Amino acid sequence: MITNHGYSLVNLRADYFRAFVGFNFCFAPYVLGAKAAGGVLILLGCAALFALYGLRTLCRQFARIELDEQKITMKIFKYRAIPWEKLTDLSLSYFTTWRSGGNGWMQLRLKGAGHTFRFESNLSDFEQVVLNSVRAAMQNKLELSSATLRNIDALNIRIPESGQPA
Amino acid sequence: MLNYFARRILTMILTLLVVSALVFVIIQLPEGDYLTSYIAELESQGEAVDPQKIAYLKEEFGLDKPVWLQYLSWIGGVVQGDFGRSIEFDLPVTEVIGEVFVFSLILNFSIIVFIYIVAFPIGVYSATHQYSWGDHGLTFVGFIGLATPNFLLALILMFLARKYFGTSIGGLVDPSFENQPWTFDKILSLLEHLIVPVVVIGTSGTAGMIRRLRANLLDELHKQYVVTARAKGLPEGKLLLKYPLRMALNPFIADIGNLLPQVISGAVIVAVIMDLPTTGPVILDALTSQDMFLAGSFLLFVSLLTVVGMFISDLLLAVLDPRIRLEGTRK
Repeated sequence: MITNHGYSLVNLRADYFRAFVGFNFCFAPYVLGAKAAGGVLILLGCAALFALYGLRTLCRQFARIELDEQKITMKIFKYRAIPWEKLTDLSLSYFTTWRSGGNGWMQLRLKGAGHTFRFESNLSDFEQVVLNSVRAAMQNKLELSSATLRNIDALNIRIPESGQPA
Repeated sequence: MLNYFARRILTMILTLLVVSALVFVIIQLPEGDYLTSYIAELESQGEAVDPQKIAYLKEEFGLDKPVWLQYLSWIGGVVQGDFGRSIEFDLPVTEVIGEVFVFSLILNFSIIVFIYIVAFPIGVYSATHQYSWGDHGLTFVGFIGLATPNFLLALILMFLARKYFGTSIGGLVDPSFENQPWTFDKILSLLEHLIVPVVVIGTSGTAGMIRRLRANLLDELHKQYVVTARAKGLPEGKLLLKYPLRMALNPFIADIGNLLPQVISGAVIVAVIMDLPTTGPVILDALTSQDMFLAGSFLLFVSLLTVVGMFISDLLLAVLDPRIRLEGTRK
């Protein structure tokens, strides 16, 4: 069965907002006539980072991800695919900027066939993508890190002894 | 990672903006402004107040404008490296801070190095020799260090130096070198004068750090992996250095976030008592006289060092301790 996934504008609006606010805050002094030196130079560096972040968010919005029994494909500007049997690495990480450890986001990284795909948890049906990826990782007998295993567990995906996730 | 960095930096920028606005408003909260205090001072001395001069000063420093406009004009200058003009000194803030900033940096950096150099071996010794005579002795000294206020220690040392050695230990350089260019002799004089303030100000920090390192290391030493490693015959020194000590180092690194701002603003009372030409007394003066541009710039810089320090300590902790990750397990 083929399933399609993507990042909806609603899910990306916070990222766009951050990129917009960050870029404008950092770029404003230069636009308002400040010389590119000292603190303004550091702010320009931060503005470049936010511009990159905004560009990446834009790419995400246009990304189309397709899953089937044989492969996972991603199309942003060009079509790239990782056949499941060529999956060589999988990691599921959790990031947070909060000291309490809450309000974070997950990132799934898949490697194989010369490509690296990164998906974040605001992708539609993220759990489904993780489930299929973990299933492929089990079939390929990949060794997963303890953090990845615990994050898979946190998504309520159970990996039984047989290695087939439920 | 890009997402993480973007979020952290945005949070830092917004935090600094909020802090800068709060600082500016809080400095303005007491009734009146610098000029009001200035007029009251002149009147109390029986001097005539020239209304034209006051009006000129108000216009010159923008005190006749609304607070929000004053703030915008100040913060606009700050990002360009122009921290405004000190009303009290009638000089640019950067010039007022000038040499005291360098002295502050040298003094407080020396204190941090002193704390780390002294606390580290003592903390490790106390933990590895728990309840020995050495541990009891060092713990006793540590508690005295924690319980004695720095300014009291400074007063006692100054009294003793005056009574028994007939010398003054105030200041950071010999009075003959004040306002002189930097020479080898001036550096020697600085190093000579650094010892007492470093010991006075560093004592409580050292004692606190020893207690934390001892407690953390003891926690680690009682864990099962240490027992297992010992049972398997790992040499004691290697066992200590490779695992528990590494874990116990976390408070040292986590403290960077708190220590960085102290490099600028630490030990105000001691600096006043010992007549140290550091930033502490300048901040105090600026706050009491409502010299908002000077005080605001200092406090903003301290906030900047706090958020940057926290960011650095988070990154260093992630490198040092494999259990702490920017990317980790969802709880």
